[in-house]
Amino acid sequence: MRRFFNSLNLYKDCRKYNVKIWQCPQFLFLLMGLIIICSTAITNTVAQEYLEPHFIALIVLGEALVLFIINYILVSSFERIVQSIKTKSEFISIISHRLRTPLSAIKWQLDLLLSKKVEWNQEEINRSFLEVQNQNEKMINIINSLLDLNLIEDDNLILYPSSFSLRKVIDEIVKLQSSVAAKENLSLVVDMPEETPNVFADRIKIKNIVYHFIDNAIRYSTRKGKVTVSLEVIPKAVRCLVTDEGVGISQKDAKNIFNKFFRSKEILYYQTEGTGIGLYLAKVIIEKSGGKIGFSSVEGRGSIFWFTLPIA
Amino acid sequence: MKKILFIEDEMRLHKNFEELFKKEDFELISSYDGESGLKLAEETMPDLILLDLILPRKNGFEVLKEIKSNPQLVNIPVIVLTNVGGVQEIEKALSLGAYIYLEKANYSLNDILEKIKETLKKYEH
Repeated sequence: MRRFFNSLNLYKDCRKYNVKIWQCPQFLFLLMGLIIICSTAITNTVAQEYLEPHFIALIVLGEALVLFIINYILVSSFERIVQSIKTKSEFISIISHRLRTPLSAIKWQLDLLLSKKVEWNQEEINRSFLEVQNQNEKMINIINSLLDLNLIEDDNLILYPSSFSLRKVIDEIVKLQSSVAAKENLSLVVDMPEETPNVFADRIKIKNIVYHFIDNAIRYSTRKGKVTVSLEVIPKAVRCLVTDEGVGISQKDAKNIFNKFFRSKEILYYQTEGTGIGLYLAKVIIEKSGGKIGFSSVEGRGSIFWFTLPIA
Repeated sequence: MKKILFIEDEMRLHKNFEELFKKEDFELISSYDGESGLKLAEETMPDLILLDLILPRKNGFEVLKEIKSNPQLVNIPVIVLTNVGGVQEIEKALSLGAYIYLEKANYSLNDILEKIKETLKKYEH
């Protein structure tokens, strides 16, 4: 019995599926049924009182119109569900490809390290281990962004802010990424004042964003020029800027750049890696930390991505 | 010495193959995008092409299609080596004329080396 009443609790169902009541098929279906019952009863009563066929026809037409609108809402919510299933399955395929890339790179690097055919000196062995470390870091980043994305969707993302030096975080990432930049024929330059005040934010999440900004700058640079990471102190905040001389962003794509799952077709022409969630996460996290995020870009000449964080 | 053209946008994978081929009788020709890969194929006439699918400038399917419709290149065996693993992609690549389809994460470097040798042997006759 309780199960039956529970199944009638539409509000709970709609909340579970994370849709508004007006987009919830169960609710719309019930509403449509009620309208049909009520309108039949009303038409019947009215028809007994007023006998003019024109008047009754008008009522029936009005009812049909209301049902038509509800049907339309039902069909479009169904379409939205289908679209979301499609996006999810495309996303899974992109993500599995993205996870396989560092995985196979690690696998092959270990193949070489363990192979008796390869005669490496200590420096070459170290470089190989560094490569494994880099790829491993990449995988951790992908998984962490997926988990964060899920938490944001459920409105459950919790940040753990503390006072820390953004300068030190940048130094750590630059150290890790400079070999990657060098391989791509790029120089990774740091331009920071001697002393900067600490910022107040979630250190691990901010570290991921800095990593993502620099990684993007390297990947969209098409193997030439330099990437500059700079830090400046502005009133009540510290601003971090990552400047590249890469492909830039077209005006058409500029408005979508922080949208979830967005990947520019033109960018794909230059660079195939990417999931389309990094910048979306960065925007949510920076804004939740009380900072701002933005970019400026000239197509074909490069981009500057920046974010600010409040001083601790 | 057999010439092997590797069309792949990940630079470090070229380094992996360079190491792998050091003790083999293979010459590695590297190309980092679809367009230059096709150009290099015509210029160097390799004995085998290793082709990734997700590539900048021209994707692997387009490259494969052009290789197989070019009378000069049509007889060069193409091994697709990719992280893309969908049934549709595998069927498409094979129907476009790829000789074999290898998913990177499922093969060690030595497995791939064996596949290359097997393919070259088959195409010798």
